[in-house]
Amino acid sequence: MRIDRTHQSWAVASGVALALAAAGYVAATASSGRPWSGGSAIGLAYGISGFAMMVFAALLAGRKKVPVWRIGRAQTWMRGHLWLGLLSFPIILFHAGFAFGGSLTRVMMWIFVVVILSGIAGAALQHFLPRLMFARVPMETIYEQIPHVRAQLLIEADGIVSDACGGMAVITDPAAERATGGASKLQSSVRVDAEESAPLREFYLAEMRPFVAEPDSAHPLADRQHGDQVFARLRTLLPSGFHTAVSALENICEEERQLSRQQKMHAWLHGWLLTHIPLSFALLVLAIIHIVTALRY
Amino acid sequence: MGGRTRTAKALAQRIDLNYFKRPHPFRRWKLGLSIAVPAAALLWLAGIAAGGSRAPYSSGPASSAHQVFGDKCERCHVTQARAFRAHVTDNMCVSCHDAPQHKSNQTFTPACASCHLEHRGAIRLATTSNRECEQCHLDLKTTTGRRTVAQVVGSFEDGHPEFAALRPAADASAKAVDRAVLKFNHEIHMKPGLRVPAGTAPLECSTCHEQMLPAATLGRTRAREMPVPVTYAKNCASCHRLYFDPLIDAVVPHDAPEKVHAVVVRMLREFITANPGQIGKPDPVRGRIPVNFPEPMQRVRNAAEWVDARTATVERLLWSKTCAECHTISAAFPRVVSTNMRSGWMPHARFDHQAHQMASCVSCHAAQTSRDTADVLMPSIATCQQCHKPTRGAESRCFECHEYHDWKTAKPAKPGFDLQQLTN
Repeated sequence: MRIDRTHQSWAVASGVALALAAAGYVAATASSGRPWSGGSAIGLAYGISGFAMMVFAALLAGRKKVPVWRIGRAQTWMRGHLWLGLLSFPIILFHAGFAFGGSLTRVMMWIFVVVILSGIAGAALQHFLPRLMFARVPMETIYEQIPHVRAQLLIEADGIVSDACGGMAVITDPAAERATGGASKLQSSVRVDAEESAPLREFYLAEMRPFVAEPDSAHPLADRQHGDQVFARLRTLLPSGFHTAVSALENICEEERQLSRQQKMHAWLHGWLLTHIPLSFALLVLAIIHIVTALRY
Repeated sequence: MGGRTRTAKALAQRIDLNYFKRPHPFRRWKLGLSIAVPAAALLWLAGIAAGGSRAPYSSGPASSAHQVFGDKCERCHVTQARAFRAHVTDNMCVSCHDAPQHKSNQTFTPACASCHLEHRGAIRLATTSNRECEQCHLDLKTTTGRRTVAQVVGSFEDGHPEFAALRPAADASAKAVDRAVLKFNHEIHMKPGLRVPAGTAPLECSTCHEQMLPAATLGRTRAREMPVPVTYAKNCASCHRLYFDPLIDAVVPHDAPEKVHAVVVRMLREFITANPGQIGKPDPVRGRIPVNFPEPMQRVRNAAEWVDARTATVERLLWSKTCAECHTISAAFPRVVSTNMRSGWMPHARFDHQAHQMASCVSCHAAQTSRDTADVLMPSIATCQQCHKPTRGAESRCFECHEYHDWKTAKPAKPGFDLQQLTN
């Protein structure tokens, strides 16, 4: 989610709430003259407020699970998650009097620190990365579809080469497949204009097909400059009648590279959630235990 | 030879419409971790609970005095029958500690834990906040209506009245006075060059005001509070000898007049017995007597008359000059008026001179300029406030000088545990 001017009211409200909470904390500690206690009346007020904000922030997960429920716009929930979740941290610090307490509360506070930091990092990534992805991955597809699209790219490339160089047949002899390292499972079965199309066929079977079948960032074609040079050389080797096929293959390589780039950016865009969400749930579970034990003792 | 057809329709046909039904590694990891991490947290607590410990739920380390209990929370946190809460009650505290009442006429008794905050680390539990004292002393009310302290007492830096010893009495002049009946001039005694038996060594404060009393003599709370009281025998006699007759090289004791009289008579008898030739000789003492001496000179004919006459003469000098140097002699001659010396200036507070020994005495007590016993040499609250304020670091909370519990009424505590219970 982009943090733009539409967040202004949330930011102002959160800032005011934080200022009021800080002023209340300073006034309360100055007048008490004793070590701050989260169990005091005002300490409890901070604790309840902070926990309520944490619960609201966690409810975003539920809201996403059931998007058809008419309980506010998704954007409103997201903004609330961002700002109330962020505000909950200083409120809980006020509740604790900036002390991390015993081992349970210490573990909770450190988890909270990681949750907040991962959330801030995630918000920053989600602010900047979508634009970058839009610019650098124009052939973007649905992330979960990438393996499916890749399989189709392979079929499409095989078809282009078959059209240009003649029919392609699958090698059925496992020994032959092992001998070629699995890279040339296909070979031309019908050779039409074999002499002319040989460079294309050899390039495809030896270099491009392994890249499309099993994308690897270490593969030479993963480098766009290298790919441009390879395809330019092919054009010089092949008659002009093959250039359309070469361009199509070049385009498939480019799409393959973009899909790899999309995967990397997606990992950045959503990877932080693997830290943020599990730790948030753990924090909520421990917070409930903390509440029960604090009421008891 | 065909190229790529990248139309919207072609792209749409590439999409697997059931993709969301299939598990995806990222979603699987997210779900798995969202279950595993909270479960690990619960396992951590369950593992500790299985070992019988409730230490994780402590809000902080116990005070050093209670760390002997380790993680045996139930030593203090006892669950009442069919109750969920296990807060520490006053009964648990007094099962080990005596906690004498503050005042018999107090209107409110706070719970132990409201002043003595636990689980704040190795701090002294007696370091209570001003707030606990101020809840009564900002507007003190008692069950009897009688008060022994000011009605309104706030924090030391803002709201504490001037020390009682320095507050002028309502019916007196604006200056507080020391009502001791003793003539003493601090200024003279502190002058450089003052003659003393050993020469002209200057007198220091500590020459007369010795260091603190041993703790055992002052009880639990007043240890090291007061200097040893000044006495004639220890601090004055070396200079102010009580000679009474130039014929006799002896002094009278610093004691009640009747005892002094007995010593004078005994010594004169012993003298005249040993020196009978002295009877009838002119009295050299009379030469020192002022001309308005009321008694005319009488002739003495025997030792008894000599003793009587001599006693009357020397005692008149003794009472009116030697004793009156410091004491007030009442009209009912010869009776020494009680000195009325105060044993302490702060009956409701304590002061540790030893803790303040880095500062010179006269920087707090203006003794060098005091000529009159009536001068109160106690430092004012402003003197103390120079250091004892939050910005200077010296403690300024109430407990620094005052105690809540009246330890004079302390009773022996009944031990709540045996050694095995404490150590296991």
